[in-house]
Amino acid sequence: MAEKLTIVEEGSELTGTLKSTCGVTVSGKVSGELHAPALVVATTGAVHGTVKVEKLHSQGELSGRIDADTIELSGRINDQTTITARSLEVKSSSGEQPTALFGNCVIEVGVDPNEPALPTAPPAKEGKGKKGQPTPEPTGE
Amino acid sequence: MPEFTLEEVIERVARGESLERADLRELDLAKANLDNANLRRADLEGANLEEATLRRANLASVSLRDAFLVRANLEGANLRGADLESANLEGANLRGADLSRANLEGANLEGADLTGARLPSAQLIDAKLGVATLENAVFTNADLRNAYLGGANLTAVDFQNAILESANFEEALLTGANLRDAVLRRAALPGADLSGAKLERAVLEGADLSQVSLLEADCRHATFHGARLKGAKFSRTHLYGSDFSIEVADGAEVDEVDFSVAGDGSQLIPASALAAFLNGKTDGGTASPQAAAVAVAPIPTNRRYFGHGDVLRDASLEFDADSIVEVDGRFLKCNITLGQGAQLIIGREGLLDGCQVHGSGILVIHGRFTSEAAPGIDGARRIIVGATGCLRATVKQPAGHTHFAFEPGCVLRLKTETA
Repeated sequence: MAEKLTIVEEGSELTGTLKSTCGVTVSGKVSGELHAPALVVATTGAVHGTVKVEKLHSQGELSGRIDADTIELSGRINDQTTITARSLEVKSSSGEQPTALFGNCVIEVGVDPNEPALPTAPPAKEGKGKKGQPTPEPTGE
Repeated sequence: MPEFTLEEVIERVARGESLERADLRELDLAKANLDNANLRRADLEGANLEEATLRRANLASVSLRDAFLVRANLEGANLRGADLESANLEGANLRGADLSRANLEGANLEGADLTGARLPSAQLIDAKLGVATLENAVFTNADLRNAYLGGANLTAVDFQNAILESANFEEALLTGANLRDAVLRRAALPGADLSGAKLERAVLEGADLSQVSLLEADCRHATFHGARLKGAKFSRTHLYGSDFSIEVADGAEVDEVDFSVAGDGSQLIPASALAAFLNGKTDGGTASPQAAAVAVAPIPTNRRYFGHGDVLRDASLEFDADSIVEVDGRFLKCNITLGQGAQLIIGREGLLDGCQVHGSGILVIHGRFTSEAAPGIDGARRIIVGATGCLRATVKQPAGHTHFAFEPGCVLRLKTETA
């Protein structure tokens, strides 16, 4: 039979900290902190905040600080999102729509955490320095 | 003894009362009207529900093991997590029913109507689904090992990540079905119609694909090793990254097939040039189809190759629309402009360091791309980073976003910016 799961159903919203020793499936909305061995975010699901899981499979909406061992992503990744993982998979899209829509995000996969980060803003060039917003820094909670 | 009689059950349902967790084992409920009933977690093991109507009933986590549901009407019912092991659902109406994580091991669903039903992560080992209607049903991550689906209508069914090992799909209609990442090892599909099906990364090893139609099917990165392909029809089939070869294709009827990275038909190889193309693929020790495309594509007007040992420094390079550029050498601090649809393929040995890439092209990275410029990549339509690839850069996406694809194993230190 099916393994035990914590399920946040569609139409439900949870704000705060969710810690679980079993897998979590989110079809509704979670805002805050989420710690679990595995997280599935369904197409109708959204998780905003700090996520620390071993396995993440998201087809919904993510934002915040996402830390996982392995990630399989589709859906939407909002601005100001930092993704850190040992392994990330985004499948190739076959249609007009991308498999995953990335906003202004930072993605670190399989890198040495001590490695210097990429520059945070475009280099100063005459006439272009004030055009856009500086690249957003990842934010904590 | 069941907790209630047939009359009591019907009366309670008519009054809208709950039968949650009720003990209804072995009860004869044939032809009963149980529409909208709340039977959540009820025990209906061995119950007779022949021709009963249970439309939109709540049957979540119910036990229906060995239950008799022949021609029952379960349209729109909630059967999430239900146990239907060895249940008989022959000819039942399950249109739009939710069977997520249900156990249907050994169940009989022959001739049942599961149009639009949802069965993600369901267990269907040894289930019988012959001539069933499963149009638009969802079986993502479901387990259908040894299931029988002969003659079934599986149009546009979603089998992504499903386990279909040794399942039987003889003469089944699978047009437009999603079989991405599905495991079809030793499955039997003789005479099945897979036209327009999505089989990216599907495992077809040892499968019987004789007489199947793969017209315009997307088989990129699929594995055919040991598959039986006698009489299989390949026409405008997308095969980039698959292990399709002359040996594998033995006995198949191959028209023109496509080896474009994006599966968009831009690398069509006619049957007359296929042998040369596939032989070229193994020449030089590379098994990379895109490398083969560069080496032996029939009309090589827009291709460039920069081999191992080539070094370009501080160069400005412009590549026409739809050109193919493969780099196994090193580009240092170069400024590269890609025309619409141009492909820049960085081979495993290739390195682009300190470069900037502009334009609406496609980047395929099996080697390394490192740039501290912001953005290092500006406007790319598609970026694919393979399992051996490494991308350290800021990517400014065009309006409509870049199509990213990342394979497990790739290394990324990436900033994405929107237009």
